[in-house]
Amino acid sequence: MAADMATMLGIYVYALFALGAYSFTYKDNSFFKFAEHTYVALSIGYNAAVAYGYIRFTAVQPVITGTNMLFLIPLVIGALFIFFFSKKYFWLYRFPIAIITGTGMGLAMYGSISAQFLDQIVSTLRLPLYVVDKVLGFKPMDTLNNWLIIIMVIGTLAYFFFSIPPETALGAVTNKLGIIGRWTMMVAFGSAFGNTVMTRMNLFIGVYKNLLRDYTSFLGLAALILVVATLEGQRAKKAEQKA
Amino acid sequence: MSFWKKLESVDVRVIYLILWIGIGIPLLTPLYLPLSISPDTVVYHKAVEALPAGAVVAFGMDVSPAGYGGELGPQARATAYHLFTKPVKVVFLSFWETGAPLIQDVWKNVFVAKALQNKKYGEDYVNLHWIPGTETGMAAFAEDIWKTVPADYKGTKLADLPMMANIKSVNDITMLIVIETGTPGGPEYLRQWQTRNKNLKVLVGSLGVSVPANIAYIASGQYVGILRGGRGATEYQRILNIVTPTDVQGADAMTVSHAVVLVFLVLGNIGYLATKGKRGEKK
Repeated sequence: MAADMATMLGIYVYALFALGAYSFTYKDNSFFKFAEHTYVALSIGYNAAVAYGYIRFTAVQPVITGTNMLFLIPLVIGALFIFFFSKKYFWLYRFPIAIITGTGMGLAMYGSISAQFLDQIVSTLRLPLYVVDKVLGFKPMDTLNNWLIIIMVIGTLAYFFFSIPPETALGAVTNKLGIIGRWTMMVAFGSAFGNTVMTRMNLFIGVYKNLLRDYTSFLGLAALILVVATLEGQRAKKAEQKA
Repeated sequence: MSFWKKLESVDVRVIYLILWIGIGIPLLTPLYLPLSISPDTVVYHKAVEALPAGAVVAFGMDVSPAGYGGELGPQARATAYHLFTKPVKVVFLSFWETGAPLIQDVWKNVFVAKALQNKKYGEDYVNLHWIPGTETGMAAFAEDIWKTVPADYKGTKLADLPMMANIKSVNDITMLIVIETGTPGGPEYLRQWQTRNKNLKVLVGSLGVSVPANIAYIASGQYVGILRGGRGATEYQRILNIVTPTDVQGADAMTVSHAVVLVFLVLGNIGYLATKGKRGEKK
């Protein structure tokens, strides 16, 4: 019975916040703001609690038990973050920031050149301009695709190539190629936008599915939201009239 | 105001309302709309299918709750189910603190739970939970798993998990499957894991929004396969034959939502072109 009550309460809280968040599609309102701020506070609280648990288990315990005193160094450096709030000792805060930034940059550079630069260039250079399959023979669509990739890569690179004056003959060629580059980027942005819409829709479908799991909570809360939204609308209207 | 002008300036809330109604219909009654299987999903399925017995698979649950609730949850559940039907070892982990607790949620899925009945924790699969440090954590994990993660999600030492005896670094991992919301995700794994283990096969379960960025790694061969958003998840479920009525409703709702957006996109553009001349712009 207690478990049922807890489940029901969970469904209501979920529905309340989901509908609160989506009430923004009508207009900005205090109900949405409450849901938004609660979400931000919850995620920060959760992340802090998980991080605290990890640090306590991985670093603090070995120091307390004396099994690994070396963890004292990162613990002390990490504690320097607190000086962000001090005007006098703010400079101490720069040490952990410098270490994190330096380590992050170094590690990212280590893999970036190989994984995101050289491998990408090599794979583009290796594209066959005439694709033939051992069984199926000539593959016109794959061949066309490879040609398109090469033309679009060159076009996009040309778009960002500013070293040749446009009034020269070579500059005119770069400009023409740049037009292909601009079209390529527009197609890429369009594709990214389409995928973004798909993702947002899927997020909404996920929430909607959960809301429909329990009709009573959904309908009850939908009614509640309508009331709140109406009151909110009236309040905003009055405020507008006053102004 | 002409019809086209009105169409162009239709209140966005009307579109939202139509979407609420349009998506609601298939969620209440499945429509069983047709869905073709894309080549990418077939490649993804084949890559998991081809895993040899005893292969070690790292399963990165690098997700946010929002991503998991939408597109990535079905991807993760279908992939976990597929892996648990194979004689492979699975190491679950997450570089997102929000993703780690969702690993157990994946196991609760009806199909995954059934497949798990034939598996033993610690021998066939482990959960290393959350590893902090994002990309730095990934690098540390790749170099020395035992030093980076001293215990699993229950606090059991790695030495007490028989499966982990021969899994010491990224070089002992055959395949990485990363279900990703954002950063850190696939590209960071490539930088820190694949550069250390050139033979590491990488599969990605991607949000639809990240597909254009991820597809470059498919073309270069750095990723073996990709699941494209919610649609990819549905296709994979259909290949594995683990589709529930709720999944059908979700897929139908997805199709309807795309159709509604497409209709408004076309109408909006027609309205724009029809009124372009009247605004004095060049056609």
